[in-house]
Amino acid sequence: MEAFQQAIAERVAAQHRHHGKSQFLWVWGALLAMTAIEVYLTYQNMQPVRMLTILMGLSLVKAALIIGYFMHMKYEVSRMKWLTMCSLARADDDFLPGRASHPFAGREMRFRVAILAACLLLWATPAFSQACSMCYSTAKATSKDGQRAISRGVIVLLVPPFGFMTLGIWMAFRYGRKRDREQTDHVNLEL
Amino acid sequence: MAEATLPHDMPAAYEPSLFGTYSKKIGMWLFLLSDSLTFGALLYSYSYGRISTPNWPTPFHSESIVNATVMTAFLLTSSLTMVMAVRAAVHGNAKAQRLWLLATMACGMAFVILHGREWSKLIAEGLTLPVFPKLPGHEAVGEFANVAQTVPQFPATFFGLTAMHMLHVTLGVIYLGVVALRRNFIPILLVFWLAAWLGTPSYSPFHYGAHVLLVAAIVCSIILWLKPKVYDSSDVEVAGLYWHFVDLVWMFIFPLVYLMSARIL
Repeated sequence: MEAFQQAIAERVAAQHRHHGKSQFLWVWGALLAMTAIEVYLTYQNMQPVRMLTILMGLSLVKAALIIGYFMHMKYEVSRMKWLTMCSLARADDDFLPGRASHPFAGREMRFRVAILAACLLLWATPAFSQACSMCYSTAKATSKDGQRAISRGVIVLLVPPFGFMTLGIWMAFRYGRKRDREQTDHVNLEL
Repeated sequence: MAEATLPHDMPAAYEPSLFGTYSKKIGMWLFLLSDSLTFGALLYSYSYGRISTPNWPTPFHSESIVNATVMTAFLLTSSLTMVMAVRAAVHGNAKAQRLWLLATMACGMAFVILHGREWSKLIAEGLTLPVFPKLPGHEAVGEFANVAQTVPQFPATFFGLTAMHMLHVTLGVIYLGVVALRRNFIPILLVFWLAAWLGTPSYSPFHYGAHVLLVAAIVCSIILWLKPKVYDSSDVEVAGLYWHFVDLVWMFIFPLVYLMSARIL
């Protein structure tokens, strides 16, 4: 490991040294207790939807405890927390069982689009580190017109990728609408 | 921004870490995020089948639920021993680190053995996949002999999801073995392979699945031969991230697959 990485690892290790055993034992006990509650509920023959809601709620709390304490996420810097957790939420948002029956309901769809947009914005965070000092100083050294030309150039360069992306999304939506319409017609004909 | 920038006592030639931690850890997090998609898709397919299929089987009797609960307890305990291993590693206590890692591996192996027992029981009752070897004399008499024909989604999603998780746990045990014992682990792994291969009947899927251990032994030998090193606390922490992720995934599989398909009389 190179010296700098070694230094960071040392700093992270120093953070770990402050954690007592009791904290981990407490989390472990809580996880076992929640598992016991889940098993107890299974023996109560509850209504499936209610049971599923409670089980998923408990599973999310257990997941939060594992990620927060065992995986040390609680002690990471806020940027790391946001990026990983938003990505995880976005990645598994589609797969939650409650969504299976109506995957593209209106309000939920808007919510999911909002999460996707937030994640895309967060993924761009590393770009902030790309402020190449040489490029910046060269651009700063040019005249006002030159700086304006660079700004316009950046916008012009954005046009092709955004254009392709828009076209792709438009085609996907168009195809989806057509497919939904065909399926609806098919169902109506059967009825 | 200030919290992410490092140290102030670092040489100025280096760019500060954007995420306030070392690259290996960020790399493991990225891997885990991508792996969560795999498990998410498998969980989704199981849940979708569960919701959309009216005659979804409920094969898990009280015995299976107790078995799965013990498996969960083993996995949760392994997470505790894993954080203890990380704690020992950052305190520079190599002996305690190794012992905690071995305890984690023992819990992981207990989980895999119990899971294998559960699989064998279900297969003996007739719940099987076309790719599995035929079980002599049990095809027509098992409780779930018809399930594979009437609801093929159930065995496909159940075995797919749990096999993927079992594979992750097995690879996790091997990963921890390499971190704890380095080269000394290779002969142990080969003994495990022989025991699993020769100790299981030829009609068991584990008879062929055991070869994963052989492949892992070859890959680990190549890695340890090409890049021999003493694993430090950062390596233990990164291995721990992987292990906790495997535990985390089980926290969703256990209620969704077992508890929601329980048959309690």
